[in-house]
Amino acid sequence: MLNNKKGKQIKAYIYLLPAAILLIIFLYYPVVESIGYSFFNFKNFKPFEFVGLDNYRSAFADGLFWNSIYLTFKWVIMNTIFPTFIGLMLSILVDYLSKIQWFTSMSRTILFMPMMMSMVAVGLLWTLIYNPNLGLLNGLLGVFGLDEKFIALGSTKTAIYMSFIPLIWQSSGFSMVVCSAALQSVSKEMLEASLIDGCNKFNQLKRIMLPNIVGAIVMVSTVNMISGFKAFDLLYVLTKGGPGAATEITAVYAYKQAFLAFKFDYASTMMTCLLICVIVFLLIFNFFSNKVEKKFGS
Amino acid sequence: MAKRLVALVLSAVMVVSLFAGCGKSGSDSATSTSTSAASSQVATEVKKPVTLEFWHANSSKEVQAYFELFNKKSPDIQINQTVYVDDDYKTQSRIALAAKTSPDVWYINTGESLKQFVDGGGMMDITPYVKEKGWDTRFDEAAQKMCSIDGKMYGLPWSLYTPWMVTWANKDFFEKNKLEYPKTVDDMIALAAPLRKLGQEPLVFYNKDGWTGAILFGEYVLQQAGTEWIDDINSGKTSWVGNKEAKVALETLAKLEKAGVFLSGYGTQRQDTALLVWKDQKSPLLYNGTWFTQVTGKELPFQVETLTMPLLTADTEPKAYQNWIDWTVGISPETKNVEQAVEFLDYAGAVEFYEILGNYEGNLTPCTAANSKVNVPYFFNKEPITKQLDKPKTQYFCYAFPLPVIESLQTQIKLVLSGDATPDEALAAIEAEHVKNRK
Repeated sequence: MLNNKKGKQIKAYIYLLPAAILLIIFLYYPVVESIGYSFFNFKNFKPFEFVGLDNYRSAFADGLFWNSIYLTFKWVIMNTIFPTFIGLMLSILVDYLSKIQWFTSMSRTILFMPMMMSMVAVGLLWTLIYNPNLGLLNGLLGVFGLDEKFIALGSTKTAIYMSFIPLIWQSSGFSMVVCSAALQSVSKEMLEASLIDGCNKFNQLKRIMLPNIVGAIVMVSTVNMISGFKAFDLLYVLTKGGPGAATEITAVYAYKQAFLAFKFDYASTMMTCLLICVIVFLLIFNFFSNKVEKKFGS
Repeated sequence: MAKRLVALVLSAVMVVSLFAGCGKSGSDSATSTSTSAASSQVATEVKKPVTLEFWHANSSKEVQAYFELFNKKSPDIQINQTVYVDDDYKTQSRIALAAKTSPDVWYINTGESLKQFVDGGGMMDITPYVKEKGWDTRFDEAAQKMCSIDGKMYGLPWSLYTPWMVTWANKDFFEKNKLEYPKTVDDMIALAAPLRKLGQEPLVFYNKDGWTGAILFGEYVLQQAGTEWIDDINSGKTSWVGNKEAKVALETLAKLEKAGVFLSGYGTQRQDTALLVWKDQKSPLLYNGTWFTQVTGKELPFQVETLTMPLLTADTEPKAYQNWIDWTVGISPETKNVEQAVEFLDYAGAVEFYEILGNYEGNLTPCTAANSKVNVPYFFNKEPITKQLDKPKTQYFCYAFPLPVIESLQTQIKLVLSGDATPDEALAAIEAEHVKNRK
């Protein structure tokens, strides 16, 4: 009965059903419920009274919320650009410019290693490295005669950038591996032909390699962008949003409101606002990435 | 286009879902050390032992062993103790309160938290048992008061005497460099530059988690006002806006920060690493409660001098002190075994328990009978500490207000310290939050 075309379609849906049910229960239902919470006031962990848009009005009047949105987007933009770019550079150095095979393999492994660490472990590690009094960084600077303490996470102006460095260290390896794979897939015949035509390494890279791996670069950027929106653990461990509110991205701020102030209604409101921002941002990013891909024909 | 739009929405949802419905987690961070009933050992026994659920967050082996001993001593009552991570416990206990799934015996914070739990039906009135069990003579009066609301006692004091309002000095360093101990805020500010010239951090103070900032703020409020200040502000009798004591306290904090008194990078420093700076003699002064020995050890490589916290002026006499008791252990009204729970509660707050706890942490306890057997380091028996014993006391400022207000207070202190808010702006923001939380 299920062997005709329609039957096969039904069969496919039946196979999809368990995964779909799990997704609905554990992913989409909580999201919808969370959006619903944003229209209520909570008392003793439960929705207490319907307040309409009151929570949204509070959020829009909250300077810390806008500060967190600004920092979130700053973080996302940095996360989209820097690990991708550095990963690409590393892949070019490791795969394209290096001629020693064992060195290439070893470098790739070493550069990818931080990727295997959890963000919490990375955060703890860099907390120790950055410690102004006991940390490795100031110890190293002291070796070079720079005795004035460098307080990496102490300034409200630079803390967000200094917090980002561990992320570059951790996630560039992923970008490198994807770009390396893309570089290796570029046709060898094409490269040999370009050499015969007198093309040097730089031109080969510019005119053949990079246009051929644009698809991979866009893919890596997208993944990095999404992980930028999910950022929480690293910043929470490194700075807990401080100093002041200099690194308090929306996820950290919402977490504090939910689990320290026990304002689940307000935290849900903030995350709903962030959800809307993420959708708009993704639409814009998608528009531009399509244009880039079309231009380079990948 | 429609398909693409759906894909985009779904990926955005996946990002945000990380935080959705996050209030309903299980208790997976807890470690349950079930010590099951010993009923099988006694074949003839007909009566099944009563098992009580007991939640706490004291992870010391000595304390857990003490409760395991109860199971051996008392075959009729068995305890199943669940030990939580401290921060996680605040969430888990509130979820249990809301869901009416509280254990038979549990411990919670005093102050506003105790009120919240009493109002929410999470703590039983144990006043009828106080005299019968001798709890009124076992604990000093101030400690009993911390566990009481409107004259009714809801729990036994369950933490140590861990006062702040002191600074700990490296005596050897001060003597070697012929420096005077700072007595006032101005002295402290004047000392900062010479200490930095000597390659030292002036004062170890850390504020990554925010609660230390709240306690420091509390110190300067209580140098000007008594314990009624907290009651007045919680009841709405006084407001944060235009509050003289709160404003002076915030301004003092900002002044100390501006003068470079605090440990470099204090805003993102944790307790453990900050305390090691003092232990490693990279700073001659430490601002911390008496539990610092848990990190530094009781034996330090230098002599310790106990100093009074730098005062607002030389003739300032603090009106009250922030102290214990920040935790209380009590019985849930949900329990079906009140009699057994009271018996266990008596064991949980026994003199022997405080001897173990006091010796483990090297601190005096609210149980006066235990204190003679507690080995306290010499620097905890100094006048700046002992004089606090007879003075009015209140809970730490990081427990003194409703939780959203505490979070707002901690955030605003951070903003004042980082220069992102003025004291007036900070007080207005705290008041705005407190208005929503006053009854």
